[in-house]
Amino acid sequence: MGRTMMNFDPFWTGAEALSSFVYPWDAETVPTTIFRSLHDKRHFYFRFDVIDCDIVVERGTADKMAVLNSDRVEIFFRSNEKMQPYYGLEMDPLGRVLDYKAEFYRKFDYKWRWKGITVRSAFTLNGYRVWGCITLNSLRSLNLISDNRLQAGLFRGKCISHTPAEVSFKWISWIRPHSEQPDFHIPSAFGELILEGL
Amino acid sequence: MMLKIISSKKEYQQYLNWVFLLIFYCLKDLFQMRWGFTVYIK
Repeated sequence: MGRTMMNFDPFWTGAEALSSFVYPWDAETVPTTIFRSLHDKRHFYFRFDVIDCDIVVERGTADKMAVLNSDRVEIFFRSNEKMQPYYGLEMDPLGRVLDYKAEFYRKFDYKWRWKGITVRSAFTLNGYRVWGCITLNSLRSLNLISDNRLQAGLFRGKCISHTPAEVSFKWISWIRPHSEQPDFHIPSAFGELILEGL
Repeated sequence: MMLKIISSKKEYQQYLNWVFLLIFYCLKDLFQMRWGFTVYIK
């Protein structure tokens, strides 16, 4: 029932709204991004609420690589600090999911698919919302839950300009990674999510 | 939605069965809905 209720606001009552996202590599005021998560005995539920008055998406294809040319929110999970391996979920306003397995540094396996995720999306009056759930079994089978904790990075890519040849982004993160250049694929981009009562 | 008038005891019993089934289904789900919250640590 949780999966069908994910888009109803009462479902999220009590979930802490994480809104302390920053531009790690820009001095401008960051547009609002809010992340929430919950869990029950079977699923980890998440939701991003994004304020964005200029949404960019690559249309006309269901190919998951199109997410790379679209505004998007991202969750990375890692099983250890060495990021050997880590897993990425990049989700655009159309609900497309770019899921991949990777190893440090930036060795991506885009053929890998995450079985056990559901992602939905909707445009809102001033942006978009992406919500979904991941089965706890799949998180456990990938060794991503340890002592009720998930090591995760929460990010957003905000498209600032686009031409047929190139799309440019500003990068938004929950944590300020220790990197002078925009890069989320490093250990310092991750924090911890403690799943209380699991 | 049109409401059907229940005209016999048998129909009433069938109606009750559906209501009980619906209540049972909802309660069953409600008892599974024990949400856990998340604490975020940077």
